[in-house]
Amino acid sequence: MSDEEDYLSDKFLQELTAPAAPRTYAEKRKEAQRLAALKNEQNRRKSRKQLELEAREEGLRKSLFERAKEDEASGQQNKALAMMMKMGFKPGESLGVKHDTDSPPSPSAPASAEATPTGDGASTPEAGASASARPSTQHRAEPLPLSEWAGRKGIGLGKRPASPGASERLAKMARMAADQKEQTDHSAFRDRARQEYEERRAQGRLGPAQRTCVTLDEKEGREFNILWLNPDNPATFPEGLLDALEDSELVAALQRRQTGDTIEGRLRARMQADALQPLTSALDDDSSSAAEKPELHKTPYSQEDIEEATQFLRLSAQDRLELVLDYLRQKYAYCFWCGTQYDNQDDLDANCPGPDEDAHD
Amino acid sequence: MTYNPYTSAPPVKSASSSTSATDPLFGFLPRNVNVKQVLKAMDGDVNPFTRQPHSEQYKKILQIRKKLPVFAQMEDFLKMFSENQIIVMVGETGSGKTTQIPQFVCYSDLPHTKRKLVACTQPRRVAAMSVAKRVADEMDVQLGKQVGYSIRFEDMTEPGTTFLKYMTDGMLLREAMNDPNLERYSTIILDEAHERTLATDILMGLLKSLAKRRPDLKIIIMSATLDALKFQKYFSITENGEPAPLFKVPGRTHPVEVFYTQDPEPDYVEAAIRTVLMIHRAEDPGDILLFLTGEEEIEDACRKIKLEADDLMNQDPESVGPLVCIPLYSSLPPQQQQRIFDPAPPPRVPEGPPGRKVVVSTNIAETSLTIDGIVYVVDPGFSKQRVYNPRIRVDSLLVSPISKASAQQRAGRAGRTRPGKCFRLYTEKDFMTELEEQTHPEILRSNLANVVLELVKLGVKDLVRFDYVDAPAPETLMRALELLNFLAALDDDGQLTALGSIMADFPLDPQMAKMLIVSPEFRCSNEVLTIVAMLSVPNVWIRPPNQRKEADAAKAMMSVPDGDHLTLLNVFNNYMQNKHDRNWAWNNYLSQRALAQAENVRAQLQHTMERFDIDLVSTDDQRKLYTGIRQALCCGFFMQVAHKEGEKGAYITVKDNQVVALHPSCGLDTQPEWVIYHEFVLTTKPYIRTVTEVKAEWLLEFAPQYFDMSAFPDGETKRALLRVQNKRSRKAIEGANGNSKGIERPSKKARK
Repeated sequence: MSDEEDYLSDKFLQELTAPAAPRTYAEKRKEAQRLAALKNEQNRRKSRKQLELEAREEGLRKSLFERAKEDEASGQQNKALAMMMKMGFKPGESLGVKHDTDSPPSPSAPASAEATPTGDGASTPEAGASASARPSTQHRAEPLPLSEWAGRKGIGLGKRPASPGASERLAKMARMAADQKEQTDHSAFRDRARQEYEERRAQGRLGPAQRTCVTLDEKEGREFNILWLNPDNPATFPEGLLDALEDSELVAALQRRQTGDTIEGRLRARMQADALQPLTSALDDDSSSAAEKPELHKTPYSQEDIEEATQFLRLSAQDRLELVLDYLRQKYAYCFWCGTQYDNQDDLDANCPGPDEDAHD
Repeated sequence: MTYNPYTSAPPVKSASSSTSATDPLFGFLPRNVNVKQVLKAMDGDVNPFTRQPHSEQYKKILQIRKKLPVFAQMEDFLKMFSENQIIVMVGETGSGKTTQIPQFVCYSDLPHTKRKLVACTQPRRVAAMSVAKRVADEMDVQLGKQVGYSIRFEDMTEPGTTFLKYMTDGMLLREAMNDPNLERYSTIILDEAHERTLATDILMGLLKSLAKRRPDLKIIIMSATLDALKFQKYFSITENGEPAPLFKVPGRTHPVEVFYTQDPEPDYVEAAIRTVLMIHRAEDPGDILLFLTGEEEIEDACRKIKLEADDLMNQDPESVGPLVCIPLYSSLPPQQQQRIFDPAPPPRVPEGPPGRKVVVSTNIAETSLTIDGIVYVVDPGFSKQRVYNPRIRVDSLLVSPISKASAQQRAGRAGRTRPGKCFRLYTEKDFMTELEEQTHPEILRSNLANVVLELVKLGVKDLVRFDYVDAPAPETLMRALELLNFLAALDDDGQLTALGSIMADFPLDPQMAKMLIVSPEFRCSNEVLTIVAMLSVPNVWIRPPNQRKEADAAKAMMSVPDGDHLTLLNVFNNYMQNKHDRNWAWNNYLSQRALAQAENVRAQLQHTMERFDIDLVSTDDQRKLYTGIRQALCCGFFMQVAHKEGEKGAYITVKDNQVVALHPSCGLDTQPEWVIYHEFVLTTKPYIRTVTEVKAEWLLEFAPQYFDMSAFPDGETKRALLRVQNKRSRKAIEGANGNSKGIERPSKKARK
């Protein structure tokens, strides 16, 4: 209500009729929760596409045999299934002539292929051949899935389900990196000095923020997150990731940073790295690149993870801090500056002054 | 083998007019004919099958035939044919196998001497017709006499005279229904087996078991691709499991250089257009074939290519020649499909840069149609595929990646006339990793209700252990049995009922057959027959891209607000009333061809109805008539019902609970609570198509088993049905004046 409001206006009266008691925090929260639930409901009703998709997924998930079983529990027998059973069908099997002589070797074929996954090269094509030969004798037990292809994307772009948010984050990182470059090019000395100060400050904040992130993530059962990585703290790098990073320049810079710029430090780093490397790669470069390739495939990190990690580490400390804090706010409704984990997004929106440090003074 | 050619069939008896020595087939022993005999008969002056002198045209065609790759191997073929019951044959398109092999078989098998036929199946109607025409010319006979064709709703044969019959695979399957041993045939050739259509797959299963029962029946499986081993293994009927013998004919193909992109394409249509223009500007003369997925996409691409190419030519007339862009898809009228055979445009000025033809096609140009002069193929790697899913009973018509086999087939199209190039708009790595080996055969992608009914009628008792080449998903079979049981075509033990037997004789989906059979009870069989005929032909509506508004307005004029089925009836009746006006269909944005076809189909179905004494009746009162039609519809399509739930015109399919929308082509002016739909498709969205309003009372009355409330899944739909049911029973009580008899089961009047 603004100050100009006439004190005789109706608005004052209205206010009076409402329960005048100061609202407690719990009440406020309840109200916020109610609003959130309402908003949720509205959203659900709005998105027809979502409804369609959910119904489809729900319908596709359950096989007709499972449905028939459920019906049977409620006393309804499925006649079609009964007919098929009479013909000798058992749920879970496929149709078609049973080749009694063929069936024993076919289940064993995949087993043998799995038994030697890391064997020498000769066994792999053989396993591939047996795998491709199998479908000719084995029939389908499940209907073909409905393939859904997005728009006009070419082959190679359609599938590959990126982890939710990862692609967005990647794009944001790319933008940040571009901004960063522009800034350093054009800024004057004083700006640069201030920039450096802020950078150091952010670096200091980053440590605690990341620790919070690790704690919250681990509580959720997450084993790894790009956002945990801190170039100043080698302990934040899980085993093997550093080797998996493809950008050698970045890796070298990281190692330099971690060990301090001293000669001893670098030596120590070198020794540490050598100890971790397979023996063959220690000496000449040619063989090392060849030997690293299979190593690469063994890392538990997907190509996407690695790419994201590289991008993340290239950013300035401020940008990294921003990403971590964003993540905490969105995923856990946690505000680093308040030091509080809110109940949900609405709670956060209602009670946290804002995403910036300045807002918290 | 105990078979003795000398006793089982006598040498050809000469006709009264000619003596044996002058008979061109003198000395031919059925199935033991050698190449010299055949060549002599072919080169002779008298047609061995008609005893008429050969025409000039015949001799000309014979010279062309002799150049076909398959002709050079006649000797090997005749030998293998004499010695084996089943042959698997592989020949690439252009080898001449479809036209020549059946003729070779006729010369060796001499079916006319035994009053038998040679059948050659084709997956497509058009192919059966056009190949039969061609072969009739080659054999110098009139089409429909010695050589004929038979496709659904059209029989171009003369019983007793025809001995070589081209037919769709579906037709042969239907014939097998009433003649499980296919006694009329001495040799059956399944052509284009690699396409793995539903009917061909089922026929392979039937023929495999038939081969044991009928050792005199010869079977040839012809395929264009090299996956013959699968067929050879499948058809190994000897004790020791030896694969069936393979007869291989080289195609006339040239090497094709394949190019891939460096990175995946963000927009394959845009990339395809770019590639076509790049070829036009930089590559040697030669026509281009571009594969896209659907009508709209193709028309759109044609427009864009044309615009860009004209621009290029105007900017740089010295080096860029004229370009014509020709669309090709199956719903295109035949005259327009013929345009793909037009030559490329001439240079704009004499001695100027040569013109080029671009054909933008769906995957019908992949195997079925051969366009000469194609040197460049652009392959974005997609096609539209129909996939049925039994869990939610939907047909998805989505754009999906093609298989490696398809990609190879597409590339092969570039090497028909000279060495060519194929541009794949995806990376080589994605070709290896993202594409499946083979396209899924149709039997894995289809609703099987029709086929199951046919098989049961045919006497196949065990559908579970039937010898499928590729077995369908068990759930698909379950859905088919469920539908047939609810329609009372099969009893609870899976035995064919009398009704089911009649239904199977209609070349229609079981729902439609059922609806047609019950229609006299509602005094509307004349009208239902029309609707069924209209539903059996391609889309009658024409919607030219530049006249959409006019077309929609014309359609609105014809629409009946109660439902699209009634609209179809209205359209057909108007068509019949205006038959004198040749431009009527055109002026109303309707397809003359489809309407004429509907008329033909209607006449054929009428014959079948007469055979079973199903009366053709009508009512004068239009309101009653429309109600009757919609009630008959309920009797056939009660499993395809959707209930309106929530606002915004969302419908939920009954029992499967799928959220669907009315298709934009739907002509209903309101959103009724209950609708029956002809199909449920998943394109860009889940849609129900061809929709008519019905009443819940009818559903409860005419399909009590399906709408049995005690077994109905809980939800909004059930509540709505219960409300109606309660109202009905209250009414019944009032009607029965408190008579307790009326209360018990007021609504149950099963109609079978």
